[in-house]
Amino acid sequence: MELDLARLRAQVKGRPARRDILNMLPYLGLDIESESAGAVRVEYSPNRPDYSTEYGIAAGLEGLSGAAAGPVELGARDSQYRIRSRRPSQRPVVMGVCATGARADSRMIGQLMSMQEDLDAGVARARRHSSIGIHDLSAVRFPLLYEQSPRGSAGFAPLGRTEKMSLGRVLSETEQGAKYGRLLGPGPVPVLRSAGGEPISLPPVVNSEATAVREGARSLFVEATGFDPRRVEDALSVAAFTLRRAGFSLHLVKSSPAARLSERRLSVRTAEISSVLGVDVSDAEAARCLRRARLGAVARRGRVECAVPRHRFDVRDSRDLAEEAALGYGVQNLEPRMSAWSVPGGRDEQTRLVERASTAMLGLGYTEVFNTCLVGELPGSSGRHLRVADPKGGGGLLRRSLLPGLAATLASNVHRAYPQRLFETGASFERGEPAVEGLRLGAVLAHADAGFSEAKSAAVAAAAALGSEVRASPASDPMMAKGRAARLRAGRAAVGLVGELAPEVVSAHRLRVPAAGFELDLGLIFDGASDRGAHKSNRADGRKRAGR
Amino acid sequence: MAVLHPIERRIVEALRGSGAVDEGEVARLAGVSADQARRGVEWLVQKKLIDAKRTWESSAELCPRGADALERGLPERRLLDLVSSGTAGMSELREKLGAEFGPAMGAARRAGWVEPDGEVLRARGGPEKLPYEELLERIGRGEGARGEGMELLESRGLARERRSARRTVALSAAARSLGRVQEGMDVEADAPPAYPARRHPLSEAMAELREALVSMGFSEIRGPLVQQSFWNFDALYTPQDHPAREMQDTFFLDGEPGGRLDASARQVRRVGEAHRRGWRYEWKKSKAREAVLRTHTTCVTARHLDESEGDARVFSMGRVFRNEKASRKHLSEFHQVEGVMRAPGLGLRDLVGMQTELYRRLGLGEVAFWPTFFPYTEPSLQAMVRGPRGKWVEMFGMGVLRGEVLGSGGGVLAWGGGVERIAMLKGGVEDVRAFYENDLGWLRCR
Repeated sequence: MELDLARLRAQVKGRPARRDILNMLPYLGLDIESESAGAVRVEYSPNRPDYSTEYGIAAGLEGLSGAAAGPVELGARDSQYRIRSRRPSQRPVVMGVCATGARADSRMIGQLMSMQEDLDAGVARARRHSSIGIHDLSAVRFPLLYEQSPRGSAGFAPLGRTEKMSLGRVLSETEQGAKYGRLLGPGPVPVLRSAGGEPISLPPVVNSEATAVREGARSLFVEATGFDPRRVEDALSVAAFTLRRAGFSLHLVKSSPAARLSERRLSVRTAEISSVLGVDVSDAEAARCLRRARLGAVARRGRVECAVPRHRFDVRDSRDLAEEAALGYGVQNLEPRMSAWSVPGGRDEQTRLVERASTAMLGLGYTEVFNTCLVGELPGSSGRHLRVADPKGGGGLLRRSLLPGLAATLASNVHRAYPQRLFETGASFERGEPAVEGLRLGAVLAHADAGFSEAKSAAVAAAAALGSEVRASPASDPMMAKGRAARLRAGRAAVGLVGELAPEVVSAHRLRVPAAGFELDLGLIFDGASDRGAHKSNRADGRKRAGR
Repeated sequence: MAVLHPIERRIVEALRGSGAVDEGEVARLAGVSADQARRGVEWLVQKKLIDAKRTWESSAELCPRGADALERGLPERRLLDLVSSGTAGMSELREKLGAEFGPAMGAARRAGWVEPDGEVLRARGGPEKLPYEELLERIGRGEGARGEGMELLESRGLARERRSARRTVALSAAARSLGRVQEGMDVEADAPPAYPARRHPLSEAMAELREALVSMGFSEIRGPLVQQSFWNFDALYTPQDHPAREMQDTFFLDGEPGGRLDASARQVRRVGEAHRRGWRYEWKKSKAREAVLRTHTTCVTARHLDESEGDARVFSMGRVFRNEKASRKHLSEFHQVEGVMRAPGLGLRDLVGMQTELYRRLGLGEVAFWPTFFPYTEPSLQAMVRGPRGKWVEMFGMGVLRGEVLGSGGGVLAWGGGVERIAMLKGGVEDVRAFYENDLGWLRCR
């Protein structure tokens, strides 16, 4: 969302300088995306819908700057406005609030719309839990009636349209109908009617054009509908708070149940705040921090009693209060502390294995590359691959081997100097219940004289560095040339493959030199070596063993 | 004293006592191959020991049509012969000469040899050879001469001119004043480039991170890339209707039945309670069984915390997956590092302290901490580091683990972030996709 710095400044008591505002914004928990002349783009947290408009942000800034403390007074008064509800089965709860005494300009209207969108996207879960409608109060006659009506009954001209249409047509012929109509099951639909019987809204879909809020409107009516009265009042409270900060006076609408927008009492132990911060604070200090976070707070002995404004429904327990206190304390004021720790750290076993394998490959002159686990469709053997559902980026298979990726790396480097020797260590996947993950070492070499012998030497050397002696036996593999591939075994376990890349593979990858490669299953090699107690770090030194 | 390659030496010796020789002769004179002669002359030219002069020569050669004309006679000559031998009828001539009749007529009339008389052609002028005919014959003999009529031959596609360059080379004054030259090696010449084998930049970044963390007392743990939703989401207090859990952001394994829930009865119960109390809904085991590619490494660290006791400092580093299209700043597969600290009395100050120290060891410059929101920590902070253009860049997220997360319980701190981000900052890389393109030109020379 883009904030106009001049407008924001005008709404913060004490009118701090622009530079100060820019420095304070991150400490409300807002992410600064970019700055331009007179404006700043911010992203706010999903748990603070009150920060979806400059009105709410201004309230937060006042607290941090010290210009104001404690909750924003809503001053909502009881009124004669009333909604009679027949509790439509689809969305039984309706609540409302009226706002008078200020003037809606186009920027305010824009902000109210983005507040609505943010509520929809966040706590309302796409209007399923709650949806709010904002109307021009002067176009509404109370008392309102909330009931369900058949789809064919007379409807209204929906927002942005001139043609009056039945409720059913509103659902089928509008963009909002397409988007939110699914939330309504078959049968009659909920409708909010003005005193004369005209429908002014079809929750949660769309309002009538007749009550649309235009520039210059001086009074507004906000209604919220849903299933759970608490969630409905949550949404309404954000709108009420925003309108209050925008300068309106609030009037509670009678309904059953009705919104009271009252504060909640909640308390937190000072020790919890101190523990969360890592700083010992006094009861009074803790209360001060909470007031800077625009909550009501009174210090007691060992704890703080808080008044949580209705729109802060994200504050539910003492831990939430501790977080508010931390924000009020100011994260930038935390002095770094290096806590004592006397136990040495260490690397994981698999890391050490991969390091040994990598060191061996580096020593043989192989440069490391990284390829992805998710790969695109492969001809032929895709049936044996694990797949993911609905991939956005294209690659939907989990690789079973590192060699195709390594061959592709050779293909993308045909214009680079030869010889090319590459290796990779990483995960491979097989179907199973549960899925089987392996750890592999793969390598390819390409140059004018590349062949089986060199690949085998490298494979044997790599295995030896991991404490394993491997033997080769003839094998065939679709990637390898016929008669020039072998399975590698450590003892009886098949631990790898080595061979020259098949001519079709070489030409498919547009290589102009021969290529060969190998792949070892590091997990199997490691298990085998550790079973024999042979995973010492300085084994194979190349001496020929008798009889081999 | 000059140090010359053996080839250079032989050329210099061969040219001593000669004046300028044609470059093509050097190989023979010096007793080296044509290729060696060419290279040797170049080296000597660069060393200013040979002066090379380029001259352009023009010569003429026959085109295929010209060779044909030489053999059978030019079309106009044939026309004249036919007319002289009695064939005079236009139509007959047209038939005999075919497509060449037109050009033959034109040329013969221009030469003044024939004159049309109604339907008949009469011979007029003499059959002497025209200048350009003679020229064509000379060219055909390989005399390559230019002369009168060349333009005409060219325009009729009978012959063409060829320019060729000839170089003559001679020892320069400097070379002539050299004494006996010695054979040797030119140590100043460039040697072929060699590329040491290297680890991939992400491996290097991870090794550096690992070392910094291990030296701060953290122990490394690992876990599988395929996780049940229970550990990737539910145990971390992410509600089952959270947008991130939809296919939009997470890779679900296709067709995997999920199998038994990989958690103890106690763990299942605690998570169910946390969701019911906190998110106020009934949590479904079937959804928790769905297999996903892990979206973070927190599933590993949190599980470790829950299944261990006492003070702990552990971290986990490895690949994670997000169902997104790749862009300059984001990938669908990347690497994360995540750590947790458990001990009595740990608070935000300790988090800020440990992170400040970590960034100092990584050489990342000025760091600040901003409050933010994460689903499984509260309060949460974001570390920001000054990037290359002075802008704040997000580094790791962190916070106090929420009580609802499995494994938390009194002063557990968690932190984590992307490895690629750090590698980009340190390596000056602007597009994260470069790490997976494996361009050897970059990997070899960075």
